[in-house]
Amino acid sequence: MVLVAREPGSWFDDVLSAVAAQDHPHVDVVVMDIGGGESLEDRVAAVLPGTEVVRPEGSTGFGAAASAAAARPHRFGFHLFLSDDAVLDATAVRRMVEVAVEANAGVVGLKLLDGVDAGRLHDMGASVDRYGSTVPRIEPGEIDQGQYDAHRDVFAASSVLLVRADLFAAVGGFDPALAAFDAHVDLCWRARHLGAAVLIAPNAVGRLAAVAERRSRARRRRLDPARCGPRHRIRMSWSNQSSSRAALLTVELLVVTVVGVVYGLVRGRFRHVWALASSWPWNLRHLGSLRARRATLRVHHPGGRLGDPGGGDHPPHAFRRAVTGRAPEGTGPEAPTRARLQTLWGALLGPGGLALLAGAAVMGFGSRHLVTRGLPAIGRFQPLPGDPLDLVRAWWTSWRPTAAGVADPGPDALALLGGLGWWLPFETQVVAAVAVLAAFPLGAIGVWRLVQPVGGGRSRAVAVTLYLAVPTPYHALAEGRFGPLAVYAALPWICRRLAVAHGVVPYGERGGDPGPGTILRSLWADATATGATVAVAMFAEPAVLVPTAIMIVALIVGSLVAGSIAGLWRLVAVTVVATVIAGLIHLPMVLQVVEGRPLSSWFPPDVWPEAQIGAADLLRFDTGPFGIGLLGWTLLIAPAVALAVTAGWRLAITVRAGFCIAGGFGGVWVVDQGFWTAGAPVAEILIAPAAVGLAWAAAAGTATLGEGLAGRSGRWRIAGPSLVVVAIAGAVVPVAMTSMDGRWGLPAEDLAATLPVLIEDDADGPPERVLWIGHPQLLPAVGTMVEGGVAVALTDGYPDVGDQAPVEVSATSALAEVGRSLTGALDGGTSRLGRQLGVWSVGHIVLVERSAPAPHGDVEVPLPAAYAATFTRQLDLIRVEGLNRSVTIYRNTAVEPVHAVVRDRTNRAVPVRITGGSYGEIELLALADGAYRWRLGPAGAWSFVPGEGASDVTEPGPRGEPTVRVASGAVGVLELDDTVGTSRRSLQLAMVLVVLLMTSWSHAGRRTARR
Amino acid sequence: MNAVRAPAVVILLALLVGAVVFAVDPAPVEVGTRPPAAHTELSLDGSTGDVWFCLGPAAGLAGIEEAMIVITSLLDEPTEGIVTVVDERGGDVERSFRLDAGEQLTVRADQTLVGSEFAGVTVEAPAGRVLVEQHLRGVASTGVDRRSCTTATAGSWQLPWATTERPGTRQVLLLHNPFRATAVADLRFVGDLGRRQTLDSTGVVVPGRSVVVYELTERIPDSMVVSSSVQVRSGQLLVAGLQMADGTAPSGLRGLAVIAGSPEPAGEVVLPGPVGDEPPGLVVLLNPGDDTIEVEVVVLPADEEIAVEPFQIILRSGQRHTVDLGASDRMAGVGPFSLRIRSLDAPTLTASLMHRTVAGPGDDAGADADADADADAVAVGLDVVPAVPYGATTWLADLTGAVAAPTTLIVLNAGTDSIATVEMTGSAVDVGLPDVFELDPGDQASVVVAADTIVTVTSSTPVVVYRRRVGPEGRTADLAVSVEGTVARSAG
Repeated sequence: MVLVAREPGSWFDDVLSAVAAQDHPHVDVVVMDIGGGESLEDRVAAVLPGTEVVRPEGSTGFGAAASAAAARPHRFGFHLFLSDDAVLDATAVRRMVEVAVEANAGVVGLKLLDGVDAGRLHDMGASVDRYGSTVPRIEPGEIDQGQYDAHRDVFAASSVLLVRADLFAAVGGFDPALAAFDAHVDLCWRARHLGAAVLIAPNAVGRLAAVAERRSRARRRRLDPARCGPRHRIRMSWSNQSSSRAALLTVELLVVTVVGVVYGLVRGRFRHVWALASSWPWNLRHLGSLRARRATLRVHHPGGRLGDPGGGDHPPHAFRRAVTGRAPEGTGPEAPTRARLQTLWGALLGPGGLALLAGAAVMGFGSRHLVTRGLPAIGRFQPLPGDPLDLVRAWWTSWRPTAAGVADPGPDALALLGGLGWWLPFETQVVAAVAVLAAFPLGAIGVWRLVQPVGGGRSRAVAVTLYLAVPTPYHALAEGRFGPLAVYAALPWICRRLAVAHGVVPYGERGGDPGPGTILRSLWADATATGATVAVAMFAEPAVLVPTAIMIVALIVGSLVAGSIAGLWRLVAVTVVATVIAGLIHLPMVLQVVEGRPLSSWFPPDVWPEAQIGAADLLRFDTGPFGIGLLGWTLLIAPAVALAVTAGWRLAITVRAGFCIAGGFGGVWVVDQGFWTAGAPVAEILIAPAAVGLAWAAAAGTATLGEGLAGRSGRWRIAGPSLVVVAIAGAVVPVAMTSMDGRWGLPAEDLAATLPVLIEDDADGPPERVLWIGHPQLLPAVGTMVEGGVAVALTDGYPDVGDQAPVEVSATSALAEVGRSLTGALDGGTSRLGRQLGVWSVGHIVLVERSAPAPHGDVEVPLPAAYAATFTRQLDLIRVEGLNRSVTIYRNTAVEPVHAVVRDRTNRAVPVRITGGSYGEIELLALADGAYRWRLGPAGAWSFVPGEGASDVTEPGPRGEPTVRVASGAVGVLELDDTVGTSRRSLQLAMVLVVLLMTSWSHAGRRTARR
Repeated sequence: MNAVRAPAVVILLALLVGAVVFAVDPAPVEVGTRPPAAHTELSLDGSTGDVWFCLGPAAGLAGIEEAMIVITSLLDEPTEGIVTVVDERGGDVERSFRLDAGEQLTVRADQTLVGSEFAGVTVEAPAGRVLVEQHLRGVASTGVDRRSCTTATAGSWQLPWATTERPGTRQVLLLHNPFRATAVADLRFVGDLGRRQTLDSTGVVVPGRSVVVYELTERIPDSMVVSSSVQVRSGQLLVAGLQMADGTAPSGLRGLAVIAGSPEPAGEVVLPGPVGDEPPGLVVLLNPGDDTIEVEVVVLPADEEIAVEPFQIILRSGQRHTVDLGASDRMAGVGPFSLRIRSLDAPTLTASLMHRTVAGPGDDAGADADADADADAVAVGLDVVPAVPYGATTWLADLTGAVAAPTTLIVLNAGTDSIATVEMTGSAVDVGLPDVFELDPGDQASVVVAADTIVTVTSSTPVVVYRRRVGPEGRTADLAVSVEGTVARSAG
């Protein structure tokens, strides 16, 4: 028996005692003291008198020491190698020998149990995966139920080894370059090459010593699998595989190394990166010993070629394990998946999961026509452009054709939507519909995650159900607003991040134990995660900052009112850092604000008459067209019950949620009452904190009710749950009823089906521009307000989703001029409005008075009579007859082309032929002599690159616009100057990368494991 | 972790109560009154432009000797504009013009579009402050007509009076679409035999920038009174009737008039009474609405001591009624008066007043024009003025030519309860205009001006100003030009 010890602690006496207690009659013990500290002779002599203690010279490892001991003269046919932390049962050696003899095994291991809990397994042998990583047979902490006892044949025994002496010599002993755990595996691997069987003797039991002392840093470092694993992996593959396979694996391991290094850099696991990167030089340095070990094996193989030793069960996840070093444990492919599935099913079949499933069923049923046929084009729900990648191009160049061209790409999410529309093999309208409807599951899951630490499944069920029953997202759907849906989806996630940042129980350890699902991380990690979450939400709707701010204030005030300041400084610190991080990600937006873009311009124009909503409707969330009526009052029952019944930290949550509700209501109330007259988000965005607070408080109340209200009157025990059930039932009824039509009350027809035919010609070149006039929410594009609650929008042809972002009017002279012309015409200033609009190539004017063609749609806002009167009296407009009353279309007979050559004598604008080009480049062919001018904004964004027949001098035209003298037949290219846009996008991408890395690195470790 | 409940409950309840208590009431929905559709609304302040529409015969029409459009600048600086002439054949000419300060421009449609019989002329004045009039003169002293063009197009037009009496009269309904889009209109007529609506009067297509001529003389022949009602299905139109009579009809009617339509029915309208010794005229009432209405024609004598029993008429849908004031016993000894006509039911009433002068005993009606030796002795002609439901506080009347044919300005207080303080000023000095005077509600005053001047009438409350000229060549009457921003619906 070879006992290799390296500066063992007090437990070593137990190890020695166990050795002394062995009932096998023929045991010679050699203790190899490879530690550099105090000699072990006295401790060994005290327990095993007469035992030889050998102290090798110099620093040596387990393998070298063990091999050296085995090479000494010995009397018996087996070596038993033992580390200094394995405590053997008294019968262990005997039974291992019995198994070896009985089964003619070359190597025999034993069952090693946990040192603290002897009912759990610590080692039952191991296997190696494709890349030579050692994979234990058992899961960490697995209970010993004899489940492995029947399967004695293993690839490797990895702790205590009984090796036939001749076999040990034949395989060359342990590889001295490998640490103990991999040295055992390597030995077994080589033994199998020689045809020896490797078995586990299940009735031979040992246990890991109860190690109380912390092992030295040097020892931990030497034994650290994360550090040694990559180099051992390569060495064992090179050493024990055939040449051809070793070559193949070398290539694969190189790939693994590269991927692993990238992964490590992204995740901030720099030790892992170093381990991977250093593994190759290490192995190259040890090539000499490697060749010797291969030669040792070849001697025993015919022809000197290594074959497949067999016996391996090829554990899955080899690539993942090699790349990340964190693949699932165990050699069975089903274990981790099955565990996850069990967890998932457990969650889904609980009350919370059932609520999610029921919600998904109702949502799916209610959305069936929208998903299969696409969203009707109402409000901001407009189709994707013909080439969805135009959205990406608009994002990259920061230019879009809205309002005759603006240097503002709109929300970043549009680029993502465009990319998905181009990439996914579905109709683009289906992609858009799914993107919009995804707000419901995202919001529901967000609430599920938010309330997860608060209570059990019932509380999650109540929270999810209430959140799905809040009419706010249905208002947004009916009005065709995407922003409120994005906020609805994002705010629960943001709220959870803020709660975690607060760090108060159950989202942290302040005031008690963290709740289920809580992961405690550093402030930096919480800040990066919060910032990234807010930034992601801002990709879809920048106005999400407003409800987020409301929620932060509500959390602070709620905490103070609840009587605790715990965690507030952390919350503030996280908020500040997260704000900076979100600002970095949205650097182009920040730069626009710094350059003077007013904050109000980020909100779409809207009409919000004073006291339009009123307190009663507000408290019922009745801010839009979705009819909830008096049943809306039931939404407030659950939080009211929660405020009455909760106590302790759940009361604190209820109070904070209550102030979230108050904040959401207050935000709408302040704007509704006219106390805030500057730009503001729509009511459905402002009220979103109230919706989240509602679900949050309901979860706390339900959890408390579920725990029986100990110490309170019996009335609550009956009345509380009854009230909550009634509240949920009442709130769900309108949603369930509305789901029947399969489209959440959205119209079956839309204007997009017919209008494009009427307003777009078939001619080549850019489509004529269309001026849209009507209530801002009815227009199919976002424009600007003119007067009397009427907005105007200017688009190229029928608008698409790229025209739905707010436009800063001061940045577009076209929209400003068009607005002035319209106002002037309304005042009777002109009878030829068409000529004024025609300057900006407006070919059609569409007055929109209904969200969908009659009789579909239920949102109708007639224009003031002056509009019809004014347009009817214009001498250069032709009304298009025979249309549905939802729209009135006028064709402009005085329209000028976007690209035209203005003749010198007649001043007539002759269209220029567009011969090609791309998003930012337009190739032109002049058809007449004169001055070429283009009506593309913003000023200075486009420049003309002259070709043959065109002047290279740009001169100001009569209206101050740039013109270039051209001859008939001249060619040239109009180029978009996107330098600023692309620079800012590049910077933004860099910032996103940096923040992602920071977030990833900060999340690489956790202070407390998931509970 | 401990938390307290009471402060939260108190604060949240306080917020709730505060939100309810301090909530403002919703702004009341303002129910605006649609401004009346005035025949003319002249822009004087220069902030807006004007578009004038003229419709009538061209000199190419048989019986018309001269037809012209006169554009007069009121500006003290040059101004520019566009004049568009279209005719019944689809001719379409658009010209720019420039007028120096105070200058006049004459446009003759027959010279612009040679051979035109009817013309629609659109005058665009982006800077406003120009007056546009239409002057007509019939051949052989069959009459003259002079009237301001209109600035209004509308979706419905009513012309209560016209005649197709045989022989010797001709009534042509003119529909002018000055816009680019095609308009479609339904025409309904009421003759002596009742309502007349035929297939060819339904869905009449009026192409953009065109004039459509609808000959009533042939379709509703020999009707003493023909009322026309035009409902435009799509677009807007300008509608007028050309009435020509050579005196050979049994009634002896002789004259020329372009009868302006009324752009919208109303609940109450006013009409001027006769001036001097002239007969009171013929009031024609028309109900173009779908419901029966009870109408009251109220005579408002200048002498407050005199009371005249109102004429009570029931008008069924589409029905027309004629009140011959001269033939009514009630009007005996009434003296000067004005008329207020009101519907006691739906506001679907229109009316017009026709004055005619029958040839004197020495005149050989129907004889050759060259034999019209007594034309100087007896004024021949007819005029038709529409009843209006509105008044204005500022009016302009171009009295150019009044030196040769003195023109009477009739100022009628359209209100029912306010005294109007009226002031008249002329562009020329010493034209004999009266000082400031007052008009009781319903009263009218007339001023004869015999000078070339443009008179501005201002008043403290809305009044209606008519311009009437009776001369040797015939008689003509029309509304003066009301000024934009001063027009208001008459009381009641």
